[in-house]
Amino acid sequence: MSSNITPPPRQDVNPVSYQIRDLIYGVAGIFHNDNRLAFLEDRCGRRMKELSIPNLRQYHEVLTRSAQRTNEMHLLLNEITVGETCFFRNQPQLAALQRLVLPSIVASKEKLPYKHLRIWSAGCSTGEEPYTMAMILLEEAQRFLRGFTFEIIATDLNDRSLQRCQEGIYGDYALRNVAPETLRRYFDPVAGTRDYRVRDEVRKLIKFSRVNLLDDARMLFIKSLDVIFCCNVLIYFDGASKKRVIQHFHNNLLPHSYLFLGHAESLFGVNDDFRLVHFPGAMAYIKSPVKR
Amino acid sequence: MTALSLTELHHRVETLHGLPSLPAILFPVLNQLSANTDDIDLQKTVQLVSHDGALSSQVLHMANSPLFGMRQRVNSLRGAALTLGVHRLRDIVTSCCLMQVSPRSSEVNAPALWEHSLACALISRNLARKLGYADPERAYLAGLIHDLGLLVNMILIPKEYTAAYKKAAATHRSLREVELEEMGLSHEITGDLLCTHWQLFDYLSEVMRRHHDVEKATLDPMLTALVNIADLLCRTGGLGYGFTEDLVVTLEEEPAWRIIGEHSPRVKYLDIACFTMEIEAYVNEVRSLVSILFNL
Repeated sequence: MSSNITPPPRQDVNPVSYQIRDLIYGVAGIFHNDNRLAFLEDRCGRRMKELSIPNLRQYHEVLTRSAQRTNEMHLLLNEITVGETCFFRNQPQLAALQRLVLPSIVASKEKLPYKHLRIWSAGCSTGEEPYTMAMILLEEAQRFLRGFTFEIIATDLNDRSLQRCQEGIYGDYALRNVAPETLRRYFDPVAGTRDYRVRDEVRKLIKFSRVNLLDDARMLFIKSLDVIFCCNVLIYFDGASKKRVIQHFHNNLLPHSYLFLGHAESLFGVNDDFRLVHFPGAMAYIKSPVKR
Repeated sequence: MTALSLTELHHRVETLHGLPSLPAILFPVLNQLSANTDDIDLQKTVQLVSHDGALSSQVLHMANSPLFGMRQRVNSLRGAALTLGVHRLRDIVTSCCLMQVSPRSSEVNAPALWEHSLACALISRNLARKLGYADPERAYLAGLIHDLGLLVNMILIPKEYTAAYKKAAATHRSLREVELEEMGLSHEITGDLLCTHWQLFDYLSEVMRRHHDVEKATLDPMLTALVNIADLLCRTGGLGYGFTEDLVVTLEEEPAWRIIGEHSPRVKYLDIACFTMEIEAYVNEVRSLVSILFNL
């Protein structure tokens, strides 16, 4: 796979960077093009400092030959996949979910005996997105979601981010869009700090786990979804990996369910089995039946 | 509805009694700028526009907006005319003239109507270019005027229209739907009457009348369809009528999209999500430009 994607090396880039870049691509489908190689070298530098390794060549050997190679790849992936996010980040997208998408899903399940709603936050970073969704579901639980059970699956590749999710403790910056009433209802202040911790009633709705979106075996088991949020994750992937992940999403969604992507992301040329839907200030993709 | 009887309302609309006239300068300028390119006397056009101080000022502001692709600032009408060229100057003068007809004090957010109309004009032109429609400037004009019926309603039946507008805003519903419900007529009808009154081109009249009912367009179906799609993109993209509609649109399922597909094979190659993101760049510019033009 890697030999096909490697362009002629640039003179100003350490050749080992290309090898590490291809290694990461092979493991996680994340591709660093030439203008992101400096970022990759910087993140390798952080790990090299931690391990007291003097050069990239030796670090490449740790990633490929040492007994710790799998663990070290995890740690390197932690360095390169840290997302910048906050609660209630994309308001129009969340309004579309709350005001338009959820009611339409509820209507489609009206006649089902068992009313269950399943949402996946794929690439949940440090947890702000799935916790926000959980709060929205709790807000609607006594209104149009009355009688529904719901669960949120939140996954990320980054162990360190997932640990932050589990802790559920956030500072001013992450909480900047949270209304005072929401803060009172769903958070508790952490003694001796200015931080807040997400309450258990919110936390218990979410199952956090580490998932590599290119891991076909894992992806097969995340089924029967009503909504997937995968925001600002696919930007790390090249075309082939993106197609593979989106095909998984298509397989995992129930018919007529919704896929939300990040603001600048499009499925044009990636997958034809979704239809683009415009909401006020937001877009999503709806799973349409596969054309025969 | 309404203190006004339906008959009285229709009579008032049909006679267009009380509707302000267009600035006298518009038709001479349009005639000037519609001539063959070789025959256009830009100097004469500049003189015509400069007779109207408010209009000149609006034209200069608009000409300097990034929305019209000006690379360097111009300080004179002549400079704007030379830099922008004939087509853009015509678009700008027409936009400013029409905006002058608008009521300045109104409970129904007249600037929002012009934000919508201007954005719709820009998007219609942009879409026309991307899809290979023969006359993108015509698409601009059609986008600009498509909702002028709302202006007629605002001026001629203000009480009834304001009630409809407020109801639509409060319930996040389509303005047209509530107009029909509350007044028994909608802005396409009044827009069409206005077109006849102002003796505008038939293709513009068709756009006014059919932009929500595109399958009935016969003169230039693609033009009406382009404006319909631009209108939907504006209303989902924060440039609607000054309130948020609970609008869910799958463009590929819209009749207008099918009509465009029948006329332009390029539609298959248009990344709609990417195009929508390009439009988002307009939002702040359009708002700030209309706000400036309204306060001049």
